[in-house]
Amino acid sequence: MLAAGTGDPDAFRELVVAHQRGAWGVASRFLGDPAEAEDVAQEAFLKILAAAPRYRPTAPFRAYLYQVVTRLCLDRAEKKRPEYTDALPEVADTAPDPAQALIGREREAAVRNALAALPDTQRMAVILKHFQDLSYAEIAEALGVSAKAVEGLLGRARSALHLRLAPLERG
Amino acid sequence: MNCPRVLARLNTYADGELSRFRARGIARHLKDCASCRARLAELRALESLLADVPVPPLPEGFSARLLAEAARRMPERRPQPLQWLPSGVRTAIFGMPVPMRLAACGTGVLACLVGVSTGRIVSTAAPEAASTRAQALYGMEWFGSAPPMSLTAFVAESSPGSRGGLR
Repeated sequence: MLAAGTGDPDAFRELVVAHQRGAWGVASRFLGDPAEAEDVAQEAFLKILAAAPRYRPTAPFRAYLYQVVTRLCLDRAEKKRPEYTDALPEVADTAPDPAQALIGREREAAVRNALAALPDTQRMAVILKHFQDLSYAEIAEALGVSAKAVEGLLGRARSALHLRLAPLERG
Repeated sequence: MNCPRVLARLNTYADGELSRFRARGIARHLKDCASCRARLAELRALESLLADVPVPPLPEGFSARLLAEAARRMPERRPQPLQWLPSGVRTAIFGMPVPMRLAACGTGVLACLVGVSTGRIVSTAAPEAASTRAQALYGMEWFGSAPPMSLTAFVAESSPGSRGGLR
């Protein structure tokens, strides 16, 4: 990151290759719209590049990247609510049985809709915890809240998800 | 531990964010309490339901588009100061916040000043005093007087201006 700040293109390329999936994963799961998610993920890297000369490595780069992506996602979400079901690109089906594949797709759609119904900060906390495996401290850093607040956000989010997804949890 | 207290911390327990002491307390309670165990099972089921949702694939050409845009915006490469230092040392220096860098510089300057002043004191001390101190401290006999009729004694006697450090 420090090398990228001096204008070293190879250093920046390494950062992109190592972290692009993480940034894209958070943005696409949160925003639901692939085009918008790509915009946000790219903007995050470009913002980081612009700020690189002033960068001080006080925390792991991953935490810094998620903080930038989170801020950008929350800013976008303030302007518009996501629509999940149809907008996300199809993921290749690995289930051999078409009926099973259909059930799988329905389950995915139900989970995405349940996530989309959560308030923005709760949704982001769930994405950072469950899909990116961040600690409470890292999530707190990304959201700009305390670790205790993250505990509360995750607790409320899981209760809401449980209410909507209880039939799927059993089956 | 009772059920309300356990339930209040069950999310944190499931996420592995509790201290070992508290986690042990909850684990003990869970052994004996079927309803709290059921609640934990629900959390685990939700976790696996979320894990089943695959991440959408990264759009093709994502990094190529990003790197092209970055190349357009990238600042001209600036020469790095202290290029002769190993990159690890350079990263450590420039990675420090400014107050820490100032403190490190101050410490370096102070160390130099102490070194110079200590050297001056040692170099101005009388050689006799130094040799006596060395004898007293370490019993270094070769700082003592040369035996009579030895070559050293002859050289010392034949040069009257000499301070005779070996006598």
